[in-house]
Amino acid sequence: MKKKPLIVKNRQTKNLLLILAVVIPMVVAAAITVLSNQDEETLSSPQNRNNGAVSWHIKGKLSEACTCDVPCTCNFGEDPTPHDYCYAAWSYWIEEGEFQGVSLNNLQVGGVEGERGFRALLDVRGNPAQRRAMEELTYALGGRMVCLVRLWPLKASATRLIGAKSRGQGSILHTSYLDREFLGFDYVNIGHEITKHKTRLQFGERGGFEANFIMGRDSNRPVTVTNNVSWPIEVSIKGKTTYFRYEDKDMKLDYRGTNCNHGVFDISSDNEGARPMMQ
Amino acid sequence: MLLFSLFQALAVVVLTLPPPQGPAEKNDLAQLAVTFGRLYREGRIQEARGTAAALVKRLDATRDRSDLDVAANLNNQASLSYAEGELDAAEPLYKRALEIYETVVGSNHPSSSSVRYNLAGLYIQQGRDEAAQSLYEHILGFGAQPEGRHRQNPAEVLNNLGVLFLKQQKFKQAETLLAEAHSIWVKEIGPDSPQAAIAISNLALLQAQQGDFAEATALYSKALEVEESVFGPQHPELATTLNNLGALYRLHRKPRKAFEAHQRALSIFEPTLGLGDVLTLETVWFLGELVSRSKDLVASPADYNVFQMLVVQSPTEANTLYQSIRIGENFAAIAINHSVDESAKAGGYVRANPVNLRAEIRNQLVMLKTGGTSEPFEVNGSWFVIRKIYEPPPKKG
Repeated sequence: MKKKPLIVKNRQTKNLLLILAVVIPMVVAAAITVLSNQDEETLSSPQNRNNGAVSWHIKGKLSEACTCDVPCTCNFGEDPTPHDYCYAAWSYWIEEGEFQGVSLNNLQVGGVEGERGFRALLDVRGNPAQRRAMEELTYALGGRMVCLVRLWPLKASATRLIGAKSRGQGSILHTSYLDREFLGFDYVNIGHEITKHKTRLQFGERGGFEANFIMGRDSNRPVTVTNNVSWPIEVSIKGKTTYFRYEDKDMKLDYRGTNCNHGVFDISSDNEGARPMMQ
Repeated sequence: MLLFSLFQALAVVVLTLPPPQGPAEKNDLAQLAVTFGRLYREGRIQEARGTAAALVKRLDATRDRSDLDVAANLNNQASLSYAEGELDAAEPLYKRALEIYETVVGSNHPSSSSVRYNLAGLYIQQGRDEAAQSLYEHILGFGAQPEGRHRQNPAEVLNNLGVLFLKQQKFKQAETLLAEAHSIWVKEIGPDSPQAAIAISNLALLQAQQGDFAEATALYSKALEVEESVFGPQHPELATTLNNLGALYRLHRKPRKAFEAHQRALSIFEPTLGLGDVLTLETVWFLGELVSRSKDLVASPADYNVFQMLVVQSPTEANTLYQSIRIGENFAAIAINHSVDESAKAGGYVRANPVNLRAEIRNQLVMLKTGGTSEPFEVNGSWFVIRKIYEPPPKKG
């Protein structure tokens, strides 16, 4: 059998490669464009369809621990004890849920708050659309991270009485910017274990907490509080931490014997329980 | 060739791709938001304002233009423009933010009220008191909201509306609002908060306006006490209250006490805000006025000259104004209206160490008697008229 000249074969290959070189990136680019727009569409369009309201619904189990003594006076609308602060770590284990149509099933949306501020700790397993949805959900649950700068209250200027040009604001201060500092979104492995008698939460290598549920008088059922002020769980099982340790570049928490809440949540953009945007 | 074609094709693809809008973009925006908060807290207002503007730009490009983050950053950019005195730049930003909030979350949402409150403050600074009052009353119209999540501290609004009524001499209404603001602040953030001090200071002015000098001075003393404990003894906020107290003393013909209050204010303003700041200049003016009328008052430190200065561009104008001063027109008013020098803001008053003065001015001061006014003289093409208020005593030895 006569072999075809090698040069011809090479030329054919070269042409094929050239065609592929042009076509493949175009196909890839088109796919990226479609996917990219899909992400954007999925999250933003319903906002317009629904008169601007963002739609979401999540249900699952929440565990949180804080630096207050049991049962955490903050849960009852009082100032924290024994410290003048109440720092907490938590995670919403979303067993079933969605944000603007993006499924959040089996993802963890957590966070930690310390002296310097608040850091959102989100499930590293989320895909790009889910990550964006978790970030938006964090805003919805905890208030938006960009707070509103407000003008400082007016101090009436008496100096105009003696002829100086009156200034509307006699105070040297012009604005105020309240609230905790938002330290950003971090994606970590979130381990969340719940048994009949305890709950444990672990944020990657940074730490977490473990808490035993406080058993009641009949020793079979834990002590519960209904309709607490702080967390959107109707019935809150009270627990006590065996450890509550967390450390990252901005904060370090190291406590034990402090308060824990655990319970079932079922909240949405429409129902009570979810905290609205503050300010 | 093959590689080149591949590169060319990829280049075309890359150039036609839309801007990144995925999670990386989102995190980048979150990082910008973090940066904004950090810059603000560090007092780097100009940089924070730039970050807010960058956030608006990025959000406008990548997100729905009615996004609440866009609104928040528009509000923040506006507030920092206000803080930097750029009032005209702030107004359209506030208005756009308010429009978004009203559309997305409704007119009575706390965020809409916050922006409305800010816009009202801007209007006051622009002298548009009626528009401001209307916005404050609009906000308070929602005061009947149920306690809880939508509850918003109305003390700032009550206080500011009280100040507007005070300006209009509606004392009864002003007192009710200011007292209520004070009561809320004391309850919610404590009696030793700077906001509580503001309410006390405003109540002091209310008493002063109604002629109760004793109550007014007692309230100012209380406000000073709180501010000193909150900010420390060298904070300019304290100095603004000292100037208010000084004004009260001056009104009640107590020049010595007025002098002491303004002098202490100056000793705070000068090192913290600088000699060119309008508050420093205003205080120099107050002191100058007091020194010019009471020979026994000595501007401290003693080696400073105090004089008034008028600077204009033409000899004709200088001469006309000089004649007006000679027949008794107010030097300060003439300086404010005609002088091209920075000191115009302070009624032409200047407080300076003689060694730092130009030789021509120093020579004029040497020749003038206290209270005397120079004829117009030229320095580098500008025409000066000065009046000597105070000169330090000659040094012994």
